[in-house]
Amino acid sequence: MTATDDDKGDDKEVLAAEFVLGTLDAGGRANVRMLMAIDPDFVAIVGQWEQRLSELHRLVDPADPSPPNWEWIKARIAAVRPSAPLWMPSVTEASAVSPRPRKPRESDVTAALLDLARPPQESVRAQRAAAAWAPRLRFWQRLAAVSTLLALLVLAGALARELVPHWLPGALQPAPMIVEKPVEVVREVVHEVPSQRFAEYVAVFTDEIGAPAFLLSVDLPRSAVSVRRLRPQAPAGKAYELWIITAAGQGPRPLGVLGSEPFTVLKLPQGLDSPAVANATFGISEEPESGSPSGKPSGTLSTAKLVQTIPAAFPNVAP
Amino acid sequence: MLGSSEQVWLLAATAKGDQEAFERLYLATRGILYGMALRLLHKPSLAEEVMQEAYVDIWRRSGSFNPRKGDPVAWMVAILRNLAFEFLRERRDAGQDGGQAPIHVALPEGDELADPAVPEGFRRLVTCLASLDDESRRVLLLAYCNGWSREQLAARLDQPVEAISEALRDGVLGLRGCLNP
Repeated sequence: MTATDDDKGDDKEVLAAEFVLGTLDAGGRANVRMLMAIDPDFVAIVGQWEQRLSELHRLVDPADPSPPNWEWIKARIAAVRPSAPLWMPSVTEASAVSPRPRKPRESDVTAALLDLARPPQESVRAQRAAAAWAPRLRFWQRLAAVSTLLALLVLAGALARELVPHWLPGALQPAPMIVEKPVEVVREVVHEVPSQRFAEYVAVFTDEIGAPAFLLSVDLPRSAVSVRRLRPQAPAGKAYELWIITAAGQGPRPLGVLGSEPFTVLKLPQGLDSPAVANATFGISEEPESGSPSGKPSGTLSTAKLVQTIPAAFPNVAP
Repeated sequence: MLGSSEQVWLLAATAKGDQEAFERLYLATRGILYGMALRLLHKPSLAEEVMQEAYVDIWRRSGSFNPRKGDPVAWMVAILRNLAFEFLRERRDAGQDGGQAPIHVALPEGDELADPAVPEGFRRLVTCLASLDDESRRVLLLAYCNGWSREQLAARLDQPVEAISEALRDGVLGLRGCLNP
């Protein structure tokens, strides 16, 4: 590993740790979330820092919230199902998580809580059943990983054939088109045609487990954004609303409610120039069907920044 | 306080939709989460809002908790802190000034740290923090406990932002080196 690789690794560590510490500004946090959406290794680094630093919570005095808080939470979760478990305990883990002998210094209240928390017997059966499933699950996980890898390879190959065919080994280069020509020699005239494609910007919104939930792309010439919904519909009576934050000190501005179709196209506010749009933070929140009544996001705002996916100028591609 | 393995059980039961287990988890951890929310956000109304949001998230995401990758409190605290920072950094109406947060965070030392009731992970982290240079230790602790951004740290400690970034970087890399030699 060279010094530069070390530096890059260190930069990632510092970025992940600062995300967990909370020292990054809104733009920095949005960039980290973007990185987490595309780089599972980085997700793992963030997880390690969450783990490393979490013991520091002991330096912060606990405080008791008022009793109505639980009633509010209970009301909110009534309509929501927890996501299905993503991990399967192995047999060794099943024994590792079994209750440990109680320590004598724990108070009676704690002891009572421990009794309440002791798992019922059927959970052990469930764990065993889950353990039995683990090899099959691992098979499907491997199969999925291999399929994804193959799909990525095919995609990379296809892109390379289109954009940089001369980089590929001879056998993989696209065959020259066979065209029947008259015997006389025709002089080829090559016209330089500038690329008609505009630089494209996209933003990825991820859900709570880091999977892409919405893809936003900006059409700068038309001053419009298109949002592709990847997650299921909003809960009944609710809708997702799109927001834009363009400058520090300004609150989010509503762009509109996302429809039930897979794609929603919305106009950007007038008077925003391209750099302002390219540097904006976009947000999506869950709102009543007609949009936020207050003009501000009512729930948690999930945010993302744009990244440029296609260079503004394409390198010259050999014909 | 429930042990980590009991909390893992409660989270696993929560993931199956067991509201009673979730209530027990709430009762066992609300003090930590609300204390953290109050420290970061200052206003009780905002702290309660963020804490409620965090528990709804914990309920929803309980199935994605992986005990191989850490303990439940670390996972729950991370969810709460992420929501708190969304409020602090991304919603301009949230309190930004850091209020009357203390400018020094003391680490336990000596006898206090030697107490067998102190969890091993905490003792190790405190020992590693104590081995850092003063400036790095100070910014790491103030950032974690007060939730100050680089800019807020710079303003409160009367230093350029670059100096804060450098101290944070040194602290982070020093801590990693000490915790994972």
